[in-house]
Amino acid sequence: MSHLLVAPTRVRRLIATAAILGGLALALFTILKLPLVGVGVYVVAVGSAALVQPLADGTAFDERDEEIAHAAAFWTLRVFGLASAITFPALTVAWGVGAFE
Amino acid sequence: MGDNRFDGSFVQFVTGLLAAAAAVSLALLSNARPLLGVAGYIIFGGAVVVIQSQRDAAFASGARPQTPAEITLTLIGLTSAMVFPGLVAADGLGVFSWTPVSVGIALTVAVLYAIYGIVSVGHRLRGRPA
Repeated sequence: MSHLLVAPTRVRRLIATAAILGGLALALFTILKLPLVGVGVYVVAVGSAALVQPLADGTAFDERDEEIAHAAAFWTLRVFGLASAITFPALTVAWGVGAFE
Repeated sequence: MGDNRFDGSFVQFVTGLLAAAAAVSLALLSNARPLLGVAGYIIFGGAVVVIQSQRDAAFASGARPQTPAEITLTLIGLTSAMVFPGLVAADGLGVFSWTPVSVGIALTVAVLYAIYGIVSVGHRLRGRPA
């Protein structure tokens, strides 16, 4: 069965690619008025991401990935929070002075 | 580590809230919007199951517990991964059409995970997380 195993780096890249493709396909096919095609591509992408992980030759996500996920989650919410704290009051002000609907 | 403060009690608190949300959505929406109620129940109940199984797995392998930021992003991610394809499918079947509000929410979620993806790649390219 060893010929079926995939290097952990490759597994991580495949999962990331599948996630990005799935999300983009969902958005693009919705815009192109082909929503069912979008859902089909999304299901295939997410399904293959789930199927490829057990095929990893070793641990697909180790402690280093955990640290990256930890830091990324922290910085994402910090950036998103700061951006929201600036954007939404600004929109409210713009709405108040009639510059934004 | 300050993170450990949230390990037991925070996760229990979140799962408690989610379980309550699952029950309430089923109870309150069953009359008016049955499909919405069932969808809420499946999403919130599924989130409870996933969080608890992840925590058990983390305990078993001795891994670091998830931080509040990770739990938040996991929850929003799992919910979005089910809700938005569902909405697109409903759109395809003609039982849903996009409004400015739902488009706004979808774009906000897209931006959130775009930031997450960029930050992840940035940390990975730098070799070590800060």
